[in-house]
Amino acid sequence: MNIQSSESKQISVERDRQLVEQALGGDQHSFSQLFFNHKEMVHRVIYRFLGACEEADDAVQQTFVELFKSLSNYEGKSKFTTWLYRIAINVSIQFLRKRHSGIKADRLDPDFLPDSGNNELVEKEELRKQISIALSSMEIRKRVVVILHDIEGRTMEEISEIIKVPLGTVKSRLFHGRDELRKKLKKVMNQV
Amino acid sequence: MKCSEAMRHLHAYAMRSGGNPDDPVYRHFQECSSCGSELALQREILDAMKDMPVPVKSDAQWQELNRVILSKLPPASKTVRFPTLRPAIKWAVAALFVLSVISFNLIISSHRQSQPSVSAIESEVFPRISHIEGNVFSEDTLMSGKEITVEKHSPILSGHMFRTGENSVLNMQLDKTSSLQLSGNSRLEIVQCVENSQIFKLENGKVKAEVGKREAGRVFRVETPNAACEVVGTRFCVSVERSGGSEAIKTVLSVEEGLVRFKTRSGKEMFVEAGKSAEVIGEQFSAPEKKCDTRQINRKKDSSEKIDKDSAAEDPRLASALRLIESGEFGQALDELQRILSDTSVPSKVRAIALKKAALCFKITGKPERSLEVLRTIAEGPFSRHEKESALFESANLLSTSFRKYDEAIKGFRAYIKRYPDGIWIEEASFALAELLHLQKDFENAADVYKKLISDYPGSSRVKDALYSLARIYSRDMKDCDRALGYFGRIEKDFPESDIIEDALFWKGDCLFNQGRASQAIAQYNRYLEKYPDGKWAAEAKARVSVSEVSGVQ
Repeated sequence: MNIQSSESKQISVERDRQLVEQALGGDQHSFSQLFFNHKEMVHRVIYRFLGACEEADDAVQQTFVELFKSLSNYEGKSKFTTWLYRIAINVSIQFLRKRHSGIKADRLDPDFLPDSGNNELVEKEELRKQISIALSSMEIRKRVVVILHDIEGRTMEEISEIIKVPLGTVKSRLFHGRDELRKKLKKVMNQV
Repeated sequence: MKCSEAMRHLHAYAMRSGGNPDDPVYRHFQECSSCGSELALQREILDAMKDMPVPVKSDAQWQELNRVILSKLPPASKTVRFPTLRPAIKWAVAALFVLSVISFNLIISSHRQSQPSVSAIESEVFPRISHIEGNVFSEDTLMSGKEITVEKHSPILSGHMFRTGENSVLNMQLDKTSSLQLSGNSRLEIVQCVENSQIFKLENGKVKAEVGKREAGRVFRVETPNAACEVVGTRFCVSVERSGGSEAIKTVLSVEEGLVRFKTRSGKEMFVEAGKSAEVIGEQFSAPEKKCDTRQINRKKDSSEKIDKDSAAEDPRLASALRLIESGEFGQALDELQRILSDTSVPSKVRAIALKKAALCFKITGKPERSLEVLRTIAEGPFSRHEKESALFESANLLSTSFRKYDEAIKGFRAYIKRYPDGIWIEEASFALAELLHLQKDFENAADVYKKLISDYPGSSRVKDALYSLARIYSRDMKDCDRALGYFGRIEKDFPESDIIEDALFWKGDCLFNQGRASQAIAQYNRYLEKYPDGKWAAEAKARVSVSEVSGVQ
């Protein structure tokens, strides 16, 4: 099973490399292929940072435009997805800085939240909402690590490569970020 | 334990589901209500974060977003960065550029009539489909997973799976000199098809490959579910037959020209020469194999590749011989090496490498006796310790794998261990010696060598296999289940996720069963069945559990 998945990862890495080369040669179709291969990942990461807002689509567009502009700098030393994560995070941070404040609770899109009468589900959704709010007020450096590790499921080694900081720093930011998040949520829960 | 100390481990424990009651940190979280509630909250948070929802976009929305992005892309030329230059230099560069464009246009216009036609240019694009007969389909396994009919201009990309119908044929031209022909009722996956690496996986059926001479470092490989064939410039044919589970998969390799390295999935390999064929059934060669440990090769490469390269840089004839070896021209390489060796003025370092490479060429071209002769010359000659010890190890290895002279090989490995107790091959030599003693049914000595390997080199990659072999020697060959249980227990503890754990769990149950400790045996079999409900010993384990239950053991 592991062999299979590592083989298919290897193939997709190779596929991305081919598409980058072809896109660099001016093949728009290949660039579109890169977009369709990674659109969800980019959208997801941006949504984690910005929440549901018009800006999220703009940030996705901006990420792919930045990607296109920097294609010639891609040396294939790191995985394409690592590189794309980095661009998406940088674009998200630019948008956040422009905004001058974190996401607000009302920025969460109510359309995709379940309206089930199941209390457990509602409680979990409420917790997720509070997590999003707490994350939005967290220092960006810690927020990036917590989002990438605990929500996106990236390993610490991958995060270290994405944000280009030592592994020990990633571990420390994750520890403090989680602590801060838990304390904030505990406070909110106690108030409730 | 203090709360602050336990809280330092909070995140690690939040990611685990259970715990060991003997573990003081775990106990603290169980007993301290304040820390326990922090742990519960942390778990709840991590659980909620695992599947944080994201709004879903429709295909139409994605298409629209793609369209907008494409419209916003700058022209391709703008993506090239222009280096920062001072104005004067900029003008000079611009003038030079204009001149070169004019010159280029003049050259082009004067040669326009001699340019090849568009179709001729297209035919030089690789890889491409050169011929189709009957029904051929392709499926993009990575992306859509949909199957489409293949046409002559269909692309060949990594991740594509080609399938031929009955009596159908698909020819692919991979580069100027290499091609593949897929026969009817076959499935071939393009694992990778770029200039330096052409790797294919034959799932079923038959493929015929014609491969031009490869430059050093270029890979051409056809994999099957149970084997791999790697070439250096040849013509060969591979077929896969399935008649049941993975043990029944048969890969047949027939070599028409050149030499092919034939490997099983477990890493055993042999070289198949022109005019010969070989089979792998399950994980075993059906023809006599020439064992070759890939880990040894890798380690040898690590330690001596730099020395070889440095020496090759010193002597162009050696560099040329190494290139010939890498491109599979072993006969020509031997001629070149002979020239180096007949030159009495070459330095000892270059001479040692030339001899070593000659031994390799002899071995690959099916002349192990010559290879052995050369290795012995190095081992006893006036060369560096590194070369001598490698040659001694290689010669013992050759005696074992090519000549099957196990007594002589045992002597060779013993000599190596005695002479080079801190040598770079010491772990491999010890392991090989133990295996040979085991094979010769000298169980006590084999067990002693395995034990010494485990105690002297606890970090060795061989420890896991040595532990398993020891456990099996005691359980099967020496009928000493008490000792065997100790080693099986150590495997469970130290290598819980390894490839041998399935066997170890079952044979531990077997030991307990043979000792008459039926209830413990049943518990062990049940542990096995819990982990491997469809494992290779599942039927046997179930049968033993039910026999014991019927006889009222529980």
